[in-house]
Amino acid sequence: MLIWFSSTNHREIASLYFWLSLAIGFIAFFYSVIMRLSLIWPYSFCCNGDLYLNFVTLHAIFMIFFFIMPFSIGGLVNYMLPLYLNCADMVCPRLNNLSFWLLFFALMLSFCSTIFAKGVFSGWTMYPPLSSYPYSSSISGDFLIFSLHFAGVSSIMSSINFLVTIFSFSSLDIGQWPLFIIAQTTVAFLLVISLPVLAAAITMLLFDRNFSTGFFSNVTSGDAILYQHLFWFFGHPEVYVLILPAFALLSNTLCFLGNSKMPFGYLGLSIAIIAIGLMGCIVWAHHMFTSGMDLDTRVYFSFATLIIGVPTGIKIFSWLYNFYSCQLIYTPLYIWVLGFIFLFSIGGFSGIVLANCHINAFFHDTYYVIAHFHYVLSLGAVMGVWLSLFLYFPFFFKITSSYFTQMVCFGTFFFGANLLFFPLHFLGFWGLPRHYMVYDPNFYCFSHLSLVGILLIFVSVIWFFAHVQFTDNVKCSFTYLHELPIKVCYYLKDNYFTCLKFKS
Amino acid sequence: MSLNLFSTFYPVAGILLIPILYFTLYNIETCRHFIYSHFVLLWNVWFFYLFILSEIFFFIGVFWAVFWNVFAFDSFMLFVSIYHPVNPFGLALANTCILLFSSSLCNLWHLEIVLYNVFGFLNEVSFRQFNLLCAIGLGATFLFFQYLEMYWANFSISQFSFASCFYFATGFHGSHVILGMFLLTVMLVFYYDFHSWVIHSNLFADCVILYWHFVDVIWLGLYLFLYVLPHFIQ
Repeated sequence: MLIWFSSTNHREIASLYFWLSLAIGFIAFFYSVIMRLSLIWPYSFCCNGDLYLNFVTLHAIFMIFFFIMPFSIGGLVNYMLPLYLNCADMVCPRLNNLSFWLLFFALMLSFCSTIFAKGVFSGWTMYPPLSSYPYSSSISGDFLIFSLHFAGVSSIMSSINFLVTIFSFSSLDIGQWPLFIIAQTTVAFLLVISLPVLAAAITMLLFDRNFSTGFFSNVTSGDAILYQHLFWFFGHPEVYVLILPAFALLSNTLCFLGNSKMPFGYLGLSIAIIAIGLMGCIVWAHHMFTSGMDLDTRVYFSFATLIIGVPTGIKIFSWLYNFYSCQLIYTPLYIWVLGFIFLFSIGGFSGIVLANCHINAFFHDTYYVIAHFHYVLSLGAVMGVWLSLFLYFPFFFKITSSYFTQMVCFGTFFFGANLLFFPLHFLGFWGLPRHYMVYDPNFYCFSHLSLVGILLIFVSVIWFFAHVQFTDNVKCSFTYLHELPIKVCYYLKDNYFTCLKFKS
Repeated sequence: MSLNLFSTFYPVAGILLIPILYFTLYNIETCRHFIYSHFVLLWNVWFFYLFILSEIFFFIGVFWAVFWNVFAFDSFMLFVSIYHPVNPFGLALANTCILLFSSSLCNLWHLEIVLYNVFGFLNEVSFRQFNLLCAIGLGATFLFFQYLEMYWANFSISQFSFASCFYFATGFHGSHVILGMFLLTVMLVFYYDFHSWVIHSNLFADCVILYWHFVDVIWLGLYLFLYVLPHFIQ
């Protein structure tokens, strides 16, 4: 029994990360189902107002810190990095294990925040003064702050582990690194830089709540805007941390589909990843355009945010040219990749709209912002999760999916997510604010569409897990690809690219 | 409150420190090409550098709050939004000199270990590791002076936002001093007998001394922006 707590093998720790993240992804998705059920009718009280806001908060925190980050950074990097670098394990295997169990402890603390007291109702950003004394004086907020502390320490330690491993064992110069490694190096640097500032911000919030300090309260000449600056200095690199592994996965999938070593436009893709990472550190205040900043400040942040669209566009166009320039095999992964590019681009377009400070003044804290980040996260980062479920899980765990399953999952997920999130753009145009459980009946027209959408996503998730659970995985392997060797990932051996082959 | 005895002694000692620091650093730099050819240059020290980087960014967050609360932008001129600045020429200056002296003593101790490994002398040392013991003692003195400062301060943590930032910053800095002193004590025990002076590559000693220097640099920043600047800008 104790062997489950004391593993130092990178594959075992990666599988622990994968199962934790998939379980918590399920739970966070159910929180969003309950929220969507509450929003079917304008004046329904499916749950209490405090409970609804608690679900809003926990949906975001579970999805970000306990689903996407453990899956795409903890799980994938732990499994793949020693394979890419042709080394035995990470540099600090025991620290790897500690990172996972710290994350588990953080998860237990966040469950404690719901169990012991009224629950957190301030949204995942936890802005003071709503999340500070006296408006939110139960210990739930403190549990959540501790949970974020431990999750942050876990991520910092594992990022440092990855960086030391990458820089110690990589035998090529940086112009020939695989894209996966470049993306994860950038992600690790962003985490090391931004998570300590989050720790400072939420520690100050903790002190304000419990030790009667005066960082963010007007009475003591403090400033609530300070918290917003500190939080979003973490928050913006965080969203690039969530999406960059999905970018790398997309390039890997295109290499797999096109049977090539490098994707089209490797130089542009690699420099774009590094540029997105660097520039993501200097654009944080576009999340707070309505907080009363100076005009010149807002103009700078608008400008810098619009500039980030350039390397992202380079990546999108490079992927599209990849479709044009090589012969791709027609598997369901092909349509998943097409879906990713199309939907992430829509999310990017709404992001470009939001980047302008004066337009943002209308759209801030409306459903337009929700539509934007759900398109880029739920239809970007979660698409990356789906891609690795179909591309890498056969290799990691011999969990294969048939052609039919993959197409059904794609169809239901694509149509469901679009039905759910596209009407939110219109609700945002009409001005429906975020975090509202009851709303004016003028906004009533789209709630049933969104409900059908979320039920379709539910069907896709259940279909995948039921297929995995109830089929004989030996039989339904890649039978339609029996002629091709399946190259799952590329790594370097004696400075030559070699491939790991998986035969069913 | 001003402790006049220490206020005059340590600034003078701090000024005399400068040639000592120059001597130690000069010797370490000139001995480098002797030293590193004997040892494997391990890359695991990057782990510690990245950890220091994360700590630096934590203190960047803390200093962000300090700057936000020290400078108020109500008028077109910057002015300080506090009423009772702490005297920068009292205990705080003593603390600065204590930490600088402590860092230089750590450097001297490191030089001893390194020279022992290279040249094999130090055969007449009566009390080994005197430098490290004094460094740890000075760290403890720093903590005691910080306690005195907080005891005799005019303001409490909950009075105004500058006070919150003051105690937050000095408190977290003090906790890092405690951690650094713990690491130095571990070094004291680790290098207690001469046998371990020969074999090891002194990697951990390098990391611990770097951490102590990092703590010293953070204190210099704190001293500048929490003591000196408010005193002169008001």
